[in-house]
Amino acid sequence: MKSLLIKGTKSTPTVVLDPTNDRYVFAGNSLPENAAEFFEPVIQWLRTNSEGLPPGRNFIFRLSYFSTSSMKAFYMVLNLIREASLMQGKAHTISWQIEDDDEFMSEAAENFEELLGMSLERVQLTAEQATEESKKIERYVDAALAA
Amino acid sequence: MEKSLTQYQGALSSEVRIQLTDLIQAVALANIGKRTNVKKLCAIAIELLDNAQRYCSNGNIRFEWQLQGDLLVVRIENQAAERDAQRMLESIQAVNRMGPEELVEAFRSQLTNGKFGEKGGAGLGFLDIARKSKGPISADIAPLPGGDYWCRSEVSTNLA
Repeated sequence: MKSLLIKGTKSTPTVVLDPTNDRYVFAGNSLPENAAEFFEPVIQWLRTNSEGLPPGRNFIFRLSYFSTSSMKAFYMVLNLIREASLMQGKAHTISWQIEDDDEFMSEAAENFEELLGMSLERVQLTAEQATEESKKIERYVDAALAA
Repeated sequence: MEKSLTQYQGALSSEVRIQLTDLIQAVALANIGKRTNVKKLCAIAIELLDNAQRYCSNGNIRFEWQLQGDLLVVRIENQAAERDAQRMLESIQAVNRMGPEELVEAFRSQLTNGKFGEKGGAGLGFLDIARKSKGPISADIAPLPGGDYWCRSEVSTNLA
């Protein structure tokens, strides 16, 4: 199964869908001018591969901000993960990482839970922890793309 | 009474949009502090900028973010094709007619329909702005020489 790695920018998130190393991460800002275009390969990867993933994978969402068009795309992403979980009978988990009691991200998690009927595990991070985690994933993507 | 005005007039690229977002977040934090959720307020401006970038026909905008006491006013002006200008006006008028429960229902319905517009929009921006500002969105359009339209939208929200 081929991995999908997208290096983040100031306006687009880092995306790691890497079954080889069992890493699944969405991180950073998500304010692309065209969300449909940006997320198309992500949605396509999940449609093609999510049912073939081993059960019980952990998907990490550590987002700083997203626009409403990205919110729609994340809804589609979460729904595909939910559907794959239902097919396999063993849920993948969603770690929804929230920096410094971010009310915006907490409310987004509540909205997604209500709309999708699935629970997101809230993980509180300090600003320092969030920065460190972001650096780690940037290094990971850089190394993977360079390989 | 505390007052701050952040204005930008010129080309709107993705880079400018992100820089403006960072700037108004910093201005809001300095002026509002913990009084309310700064990210939610900035979301109003971000959605207006997002929309303007998607539909602006000449690449230029005029943007204002004004804080005066407990009132935040966000304004944006841009040029757009007639079809896009009319659609913006109709969308805002439709949103302004909705009550709070209708807004919530329309937002949910639009969020979950799995469809994007031809320019990658989700059709959620004005619904989200209305929910966050808890008031009507003001909008005007007028024809310009050459066939395009001038568009203005303005959102006021009370922070108290």
